[in-house]
Amino acid sequence: MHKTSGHMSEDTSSAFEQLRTLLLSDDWRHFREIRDTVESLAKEVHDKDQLIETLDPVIADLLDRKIHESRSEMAEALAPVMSEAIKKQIEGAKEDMVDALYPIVGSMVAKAIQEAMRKLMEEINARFKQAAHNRFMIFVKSKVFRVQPAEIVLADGILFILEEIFLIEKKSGLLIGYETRNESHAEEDAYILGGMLTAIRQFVSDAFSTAGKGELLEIQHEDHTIRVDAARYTYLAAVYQGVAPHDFNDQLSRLHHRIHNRFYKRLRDFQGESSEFHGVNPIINRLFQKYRNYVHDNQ
Amino acid sequence: MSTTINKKICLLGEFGVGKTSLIQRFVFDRFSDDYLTTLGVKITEKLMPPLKKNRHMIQFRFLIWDIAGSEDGLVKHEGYWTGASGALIVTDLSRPDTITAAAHLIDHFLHLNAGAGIVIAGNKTDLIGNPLLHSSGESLKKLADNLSCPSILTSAKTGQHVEDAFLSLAHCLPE
Ligand SMILES: Nc1nc2c(ncn2[C@@H]2O[C@H](COP(=O)(O)OP(=O)(O)OP(=O)(O)O)[C@@H](O)[C@H]2O)c(=O)[nH]1
Ligand SMILES: [Mg+2]
Repeated sequence: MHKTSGHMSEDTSSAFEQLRTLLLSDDWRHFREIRDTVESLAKEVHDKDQLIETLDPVIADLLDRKIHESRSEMAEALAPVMSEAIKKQIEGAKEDMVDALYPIVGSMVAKAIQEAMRKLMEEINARFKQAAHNRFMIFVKSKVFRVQPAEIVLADGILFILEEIFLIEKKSGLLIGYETRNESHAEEDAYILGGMLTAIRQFVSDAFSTAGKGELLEIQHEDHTIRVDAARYTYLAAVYQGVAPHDFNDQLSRLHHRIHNRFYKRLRDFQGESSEFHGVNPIINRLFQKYRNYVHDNQ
Repeated sequence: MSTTINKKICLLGEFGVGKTSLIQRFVFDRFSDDYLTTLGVKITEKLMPPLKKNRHMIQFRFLIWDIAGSEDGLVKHEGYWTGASGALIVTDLSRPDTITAAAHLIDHFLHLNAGAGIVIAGNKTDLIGNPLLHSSGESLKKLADNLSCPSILTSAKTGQHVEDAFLSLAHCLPE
């Protein structure tokens, strides 16, 4: 009997449960949704990391829009604040500060700093036009006391991101090799960019009638630089953000030389068939390996 | 399986004959009556349908260089012509002088790119009311026969034979 009654009561309670579910299921779901939302909101507000994560894209977007609308104003407004803060931070540790800066403030601020730094660099560079980057750094460090060492460290430690490398046949502008840091870059665009680069070179040499002699080496657009190394049959063009390491151009030339030596005959007889150049991309990739997560060191 | 081969193609001809319009029609299937003259050069990419050449299946990827038009056959911008495997030479059937000019351009183009493929387009066939259309068509044919290259009457406006012009260029390209 006990058993049965026990069974009975189980049955009743489950029946009751069922009834409740039937009657209240909608409200219940609603309630649960609200509860979850409140919980996650509470978490986001209390958990500092979480809050930062939530706000980060908003701030980045906001800055992005602001910078887009009035870029120079923004840079001007940010520069003094940032460099003050940076100066303080930097006295602590440069590494920490670079780490701290990126995820929290978002890439747009990094851009603004970079722009401010670039202005500073340009100003100084204008004074010592001929000096090579590294010689210039030593020179500045030892002689120019008006410039804060911290600023130099920062300029030196500012980012360098290698974005894309193109190997382009010189005459036709056709793409032979291509590597990118960002998988989402469409290769179709690379074909067109390859062509445009040759066209620009052509335009410049036409405009200044320096055909044969003048090799266009560098194009700057906003915070991107395109560095072009010219060899007999090809251009090797690197697109990067930030300030290139002092040996970068050298490395680029050397890599180009290696490719040229290895594929010399095929480059000479090039008819547009890029499948003959499968071996090129792995070689190009070495440069990406080399400069992955590159941070300028300040000797 | 076909191999993809990239080829540089130039569109050459007098200003306003419809070079840009032909590319817009061919690649994006659109047309505009507005005339926006091309400054310098604009490059467009188009993967062509596979075709058979010497018993091999190949597929061309065209990098189409839309180059600012010439005036009175005067060659400008020839720096943009180098390394091209072919050219679509465009004329305007309502402007006979554009055909004379085309002859100059072809000469010069083949001088820079020996053995390149050439197709001549007589564009704006939709202007049927135009009295010059017929005679232009004939002089175009004569020019093409002299050079033993194909000529095609096109209209970027209606789309007539636009695809044919580019396909026929693909067939003309050297290996
Ligand atoms: N009726 C008609 N008009 C055309 C046709 N093709 C082009 N046009 C018009 O002709 C004008 C010039 O066309 P474009 O394609 O810009 O000529 P283009 O050869 O690229 O000229 P440039 O860049 O200056 O050398 C535009 O107003 C076009 O709308 C066509 O097939 N029929
Ligand atoms: Mg045009």
